Amino acid sequence: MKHSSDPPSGPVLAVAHLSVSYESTRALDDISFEIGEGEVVALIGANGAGKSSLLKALAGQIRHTGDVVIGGQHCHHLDRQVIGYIPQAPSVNYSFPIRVRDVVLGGRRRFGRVGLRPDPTDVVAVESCLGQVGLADLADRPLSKLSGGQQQRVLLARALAQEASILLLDEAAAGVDERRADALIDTFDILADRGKSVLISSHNLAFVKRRFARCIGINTTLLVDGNPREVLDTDALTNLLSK
Amino acid sequence: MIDFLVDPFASSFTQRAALVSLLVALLAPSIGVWIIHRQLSYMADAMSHSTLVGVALTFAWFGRGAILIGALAAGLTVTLIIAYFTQKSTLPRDAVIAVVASGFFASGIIALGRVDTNISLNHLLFGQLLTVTSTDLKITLVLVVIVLAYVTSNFRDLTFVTLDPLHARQVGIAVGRQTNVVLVLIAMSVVVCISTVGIVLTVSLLIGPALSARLVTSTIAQQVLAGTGLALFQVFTGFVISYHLDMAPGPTIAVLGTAIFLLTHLAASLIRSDLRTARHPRRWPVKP
Repeated sequence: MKHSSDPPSGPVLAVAHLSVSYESTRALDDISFEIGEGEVVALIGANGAGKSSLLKALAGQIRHTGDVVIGGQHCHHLDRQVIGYIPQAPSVNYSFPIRVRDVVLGGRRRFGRVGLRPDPTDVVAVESCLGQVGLADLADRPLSKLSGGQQQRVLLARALAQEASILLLDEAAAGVDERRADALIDTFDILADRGKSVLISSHNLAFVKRRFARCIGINTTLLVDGNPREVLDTDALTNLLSK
Repeated sequence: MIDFLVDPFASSFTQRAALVSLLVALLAPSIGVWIIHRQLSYMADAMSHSTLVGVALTFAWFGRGAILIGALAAGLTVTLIIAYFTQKSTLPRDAVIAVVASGFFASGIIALGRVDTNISLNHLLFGQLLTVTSTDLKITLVLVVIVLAYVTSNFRDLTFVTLDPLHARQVGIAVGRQTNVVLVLIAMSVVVCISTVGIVLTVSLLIGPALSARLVTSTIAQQVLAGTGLALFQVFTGFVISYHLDMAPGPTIAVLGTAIFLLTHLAASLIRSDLRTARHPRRWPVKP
């Protein structure tokens, strides 16, 4: 995992002057930042600060103004399939009868139609991605039989199967205990060592201070960008971001 | 015993009925699983009721041979109307379905009362398996081939969209287009089932076997296969029972579907209970 003090190796994600409006309400205003290869960054802010809107805009789920450049390619010319996005309330039908490996196979759809008998390349990729998130043993288990944390890892494996260069996760550590949240960040660190970049939103500032080397704080506009142990050192700012 | 099973299929019209039943059994679970997992059961029910007006009008204008085409047209029309209102407004879908479908169904009853026809309303409502014509058989065959060809060739994409439409869109699947195609396929399937169990009972055949199969399977492919087996058993057993007990085939097949669901549920519950007991045997406290 690269720390904020490490020199960036060229931004995987570059956001410039991004704004989002819902009818007459300005949800995000003139947000700019960059994320380098292998960086794991926390996106923090109070409820309603625009964290989910920012992730949705980056994932191409909602309209925005401003520039989003991923891997050197401007978003308007970019296939947004290079982004792995796991929303706060995924639209996943968890009661659907499907094995874990078939869920992850969904990420391979990006590379073309997946037939009744998947291509051997896709099968190998799915096995590899399940191994990376520690679910290789559960590949044939029905999705509905997994715990909430395991289901989240399946979605992560699916994003990896998509060969996404950057993973966007909305409140991925919310609602799980400290041990599971730490395990999740450990997984991100391993992925970061393999070159994946991760932007994960969280409202838990203590957790962010403890586990992240860089955070981006927003409240409609960009408030802070840096090491959370340095930029979140004032009570006023902490209150602003956590209220 | 063999005579008991073969006798019902001795005449040409019962053989046609058997062929239609076979096609329906092959089709129903293949589309039924998507109806269940996309929560479109009420929509399918609305479509089947709405076909009555199409049947009445096409009979009046073109005669008996065109009624399945009329049913299909009515089913597609009601689908378009419901899709328009639910996509262009924030009205709840089930309420829109209730209002639109009841209007279509009532129009069908009025139209049928004014059309000079020898078709009994009961035949349309509860099935006309023994009066299936060779034209009906050909139309049914074409519709079944179209539906099965689409479902088979798009099985993975249907799975991905049903599991997670947001992600499916992100990896390049045209989710909106597929959703509309599925509605058209449901309308076609409803028309196919009308011959067997009639307008009122169509949903039981479309959904019953697939729902029963869900109780004993853990993947969508298994659900389709098990559902097809149950549907074949349901339509042929229902047909044989109705022949020997002189009952209407459509309602008999529908009742059998409900019985199969209840029995499957009971069997699945007992098996799960046995497995739990085997894994965690009860340990009675030992008296000192």
